[in-house]
Amino acid sequence: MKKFSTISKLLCLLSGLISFDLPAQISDSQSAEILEPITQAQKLINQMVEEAVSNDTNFLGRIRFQILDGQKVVKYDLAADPPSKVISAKSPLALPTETLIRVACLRRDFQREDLETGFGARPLAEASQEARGAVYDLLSETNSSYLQKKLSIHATNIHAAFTMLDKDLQGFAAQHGLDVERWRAVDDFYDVEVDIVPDKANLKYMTYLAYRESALPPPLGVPLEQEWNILSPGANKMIGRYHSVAIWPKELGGSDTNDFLIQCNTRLIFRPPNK
Amino acid sequence: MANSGIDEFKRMAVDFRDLGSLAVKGVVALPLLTAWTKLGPPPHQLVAILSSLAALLTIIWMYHFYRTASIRRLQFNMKIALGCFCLGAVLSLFLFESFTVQGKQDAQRIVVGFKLRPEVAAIMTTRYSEWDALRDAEYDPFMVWTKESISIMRVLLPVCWILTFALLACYTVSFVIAQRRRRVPTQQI
Repeated sequence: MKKFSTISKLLCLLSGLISFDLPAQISDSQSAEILEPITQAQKLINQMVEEAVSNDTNFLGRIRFQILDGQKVVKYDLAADPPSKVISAKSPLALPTETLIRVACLRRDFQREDLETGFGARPLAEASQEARGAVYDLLSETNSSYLQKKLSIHATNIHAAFTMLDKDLQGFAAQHGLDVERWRAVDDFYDVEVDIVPDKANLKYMTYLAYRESALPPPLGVPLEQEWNILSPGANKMIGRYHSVAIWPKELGGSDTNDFLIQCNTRLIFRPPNK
Repeated sequence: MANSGIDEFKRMAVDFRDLGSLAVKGVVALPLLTAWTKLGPPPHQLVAILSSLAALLTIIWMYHFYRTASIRRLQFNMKIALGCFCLGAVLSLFLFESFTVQGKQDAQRIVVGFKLRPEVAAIMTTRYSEWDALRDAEYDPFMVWTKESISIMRVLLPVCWILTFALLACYTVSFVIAQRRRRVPTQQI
């Protein structure tokens, strides 16, 4: 809900600015009046990016870079999310906001994986700079055709920055003898709302195939511990069959394993074995 | 002055009355229809555009090289093109049916491979097929089949599909040129 409040503030601000009739000659005080809303908008966007990265870990703020040492694989996802999933399909602010969220996620994941200092810094900084430039132009440029040209240049440069990062990542994988795997588009999954009632369990899950494979003798089988993922309450993206374990407090029954199949948008409710 | 292949092609392109001309244009438009109906192999839009382009290039090729060919030669072309088209269509449908699967309902079909990863091959039983494994791997074919076999199928499927449309274009243009040849004396072409 917090995210939506930020979006609504941002949209109000933008709609207010669009209705401005900027004078041809502007004084210092008028300039400050124009700059203030831009600063405010940028603050709100920064706030939204922070919220997405820290709270929306299943979608906008999801993991975008991961090294799976056991499988000698580097997985990454540089793809842009659709504007409709960020603000709205028609909002011009969707592109820069989405770019800033993507950049923040990748910075977070590079840091978490302890990559050498400065890895990917240049393309990420360029993408971020272009996104901020797009926000500035959106809020300050009054000539719509000139604005469209500028936005198109920003979009091209953002794309070029991520293409450069893609090459850097492929180089990194080759240098470290890792296979590259790109994450799939989130559109390939169903929306699954996960509820834990009462909210006292930790949920872990893995694909059912990984569960079956873990029973194989080494070197084919991967230890079960390496395959678990955290299943967070709230919105998740899933498809197919999964194996899960809910770890409840002892008084509620302890661990409870389940297999479930996702074939449509649905809601999963996890309840303790002993109520 | 004798007409060139491009003149003949232009005349066909602007003619919306003759059934033959319409059929040739239909052959170019048909692949685009498959994108709309999501019938073609994934990625639908790219394959549809490439198929349409291949059909157009085939038509240009045919007008350029076979405009003055004998009726006998054109009839031979038609027989070969029709035979290959039927073969291509059957092969395309077979590959489409055997090596693509629908994951999420409204998403693009997924192209699978033909060689299982050793980990997956080890857990296959009569009750647990590769399709079960695919469903149990979030419909990610790379978790079930080898990367090489998926890549081969990802290339083979669209190539087969595109060639099939090119052969259909070849057949149609050969037919149209042969019909015009019958109507117009050879000297005037």
